Amino acid sequence: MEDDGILGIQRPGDDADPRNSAATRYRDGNINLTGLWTYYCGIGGNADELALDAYLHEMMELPPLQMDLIHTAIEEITAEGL
Amino acid sequence: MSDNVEIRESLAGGVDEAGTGLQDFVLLLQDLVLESSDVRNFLTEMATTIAGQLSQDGNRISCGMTVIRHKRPVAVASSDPRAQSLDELQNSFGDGPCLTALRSGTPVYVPDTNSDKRWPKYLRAAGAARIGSILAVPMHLQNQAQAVVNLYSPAAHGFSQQGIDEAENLAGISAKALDLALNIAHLRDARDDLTAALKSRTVIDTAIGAIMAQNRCSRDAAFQILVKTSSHRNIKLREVASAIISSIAGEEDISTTYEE
Repeated sequence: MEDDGILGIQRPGDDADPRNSAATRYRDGNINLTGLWTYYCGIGGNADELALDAYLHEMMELPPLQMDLIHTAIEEITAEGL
Repeated sequence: MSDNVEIRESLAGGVDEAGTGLQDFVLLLQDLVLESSDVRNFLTEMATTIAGQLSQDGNRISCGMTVIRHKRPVAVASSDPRAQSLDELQNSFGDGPCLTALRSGTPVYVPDTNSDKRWPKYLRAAGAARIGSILAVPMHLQNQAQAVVNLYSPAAHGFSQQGIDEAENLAGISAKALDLALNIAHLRDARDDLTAALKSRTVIDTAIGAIMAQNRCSRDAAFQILVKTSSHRNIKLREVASAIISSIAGEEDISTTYEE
């Protein structure tokens, strides 16, 4: 099928919403919520587990730094293959 | 809760001899919960014990345990290599009596692997491995875990009605022990994670303080510097932090004393 680009225009890029990619990676990586929260807290994160859960389900915004730390935590956990 | 009642009723209705056997079994499981170093070890001991309980002269039962992990069935433990290989074989086919029992939550009995038509490929392989009959009993766990006890007999019709009832009883009792073992393992993991997090956070907070002092910046800004450095160099945040600390103080090891 010919790609007319309409899909590409209408669909926002994967990185458009940082919550999106974090949520996807969280789901795909079989990461457990408590484990992720503990790791995130260990690298300096300040949001509680409930806020993290809400963020990962794209229901809540967090301060930029906290979002960065969550991404870092997901990346480091995934890299460790836990 | 209903399991509980069923077990008690059948215990009360059973013969005294069987009752004593079950009591020993319960005591043994309690010891296993207390002694086992991890869940896999616990399951292996449990499989061996169940196989021993159900085996009779001339009808040696093999027992395997399959659990759902990451949405996939995994053969985690067995009383002997025969059960292990049959469990793995079935998981590779993706269907069979044990997986059916796991999915439906009800026991599945294959009285004769040669004449049963339900899972032709798997049962042919089981027959070739000299397995005559298969009984799969799911465990009803309170944890968010699923497990099934897979029993293999070399003889066709290797499980009488009494044998099936006994296997279901044992699985019911084992499920409670497994719940306990899983809870303990879960708490132990959470404790280990928290200990690691506490240690890591001390290192990171110290580094953040150092960055704040050097750059005369806010905590958030210091964190951004740390996060950026980590992602640019593809080094873990904690390792960047400890490199910063040792570059300032020459100190290698910072630890938080944590009483366990």
